[in-house]
Amino acid sequence: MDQLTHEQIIAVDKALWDIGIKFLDIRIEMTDHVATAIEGMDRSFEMNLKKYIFENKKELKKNYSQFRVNASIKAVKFLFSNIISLRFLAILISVYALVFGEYKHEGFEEASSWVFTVLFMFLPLTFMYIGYINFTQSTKLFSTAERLFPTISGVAYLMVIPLKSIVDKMEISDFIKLFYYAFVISFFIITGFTYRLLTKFYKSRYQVI
Amino acid sequence: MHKKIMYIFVIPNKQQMKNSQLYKGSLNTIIMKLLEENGRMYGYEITQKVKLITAGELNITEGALYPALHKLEADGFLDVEVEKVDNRLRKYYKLTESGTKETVNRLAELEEFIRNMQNLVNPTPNPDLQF
Repeated sequence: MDQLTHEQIIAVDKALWDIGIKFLDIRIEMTDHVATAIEGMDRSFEMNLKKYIFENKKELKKNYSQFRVNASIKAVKFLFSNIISLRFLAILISVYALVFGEYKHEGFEEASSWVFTVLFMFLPLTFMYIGYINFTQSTKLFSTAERLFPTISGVAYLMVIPLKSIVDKMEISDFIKLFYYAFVISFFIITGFTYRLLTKFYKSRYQVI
Repeated sequence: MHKKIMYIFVIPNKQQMKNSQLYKGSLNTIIMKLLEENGRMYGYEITQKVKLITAGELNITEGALYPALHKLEADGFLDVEVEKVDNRLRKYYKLTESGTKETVNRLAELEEFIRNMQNLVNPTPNPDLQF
């Protein structure tokens, strides 16, 4: 059959969305794959699309679930590469200086409360922001960026939960505790930064404005 | 009910089963070899090229091809270029410098594997080893 029109390409994209292929980067690749396959078939576009999706649904979904796993691995690798960068070190030093300044002026209790306030403002705001993006741009989400927060959320909670209950009560130097606090805050900052970088990278790669 | 009956007809046939068992381990090498020969290729093109070379014997499915391509990309062996072609975006893959080196190694490994299998399946009598 003839080369697919813009409207037919949108129909292919929608068909993929309907079977659960949500991330835009994989949908773009699969849309091209399905469209090229359909162009090589006889009969009408609608019939070819239905036939293709029906016969390959299992494979397409298998590919997508593997893709999600790979995206999570990629997200963690990218985050890790940012954590071992000079940028992270600069953030860590700056945050530590702020926490230390608070400690010097107000004492440990105040500094500890300040860290908690920052984290408790940062976390809900981040989740609200992600929720907003997911709601308003659900068809334009990129895999690696979107898998970042769900993948690291477990680690993040493990770092935040023991702050008050364990770290504060430990018989260690206040400086080590302050360093831990600074590290936790820096971790969240660099995660947000990584998210921004990934989104920017994918938007530029897939020419999404 | 209707859906269930239809699914029975798309269960992999004997040919596809053979493909998945014997070729699975060599898929990455096959992809890299094709990219080495053709410069850059997109997913569907790779499936069709393989089909053509093997005269329809080997059918690479989406579920096998794309995870392999994405893994090779994540490992730094493939580079990606996205271009607008025929009303849609197309993702092309090409070998990176380390991918080109890796292809040479993997092909050498594969050739050795084939030679060993050949010797095992169809041994030629070696006079030196005869007692």
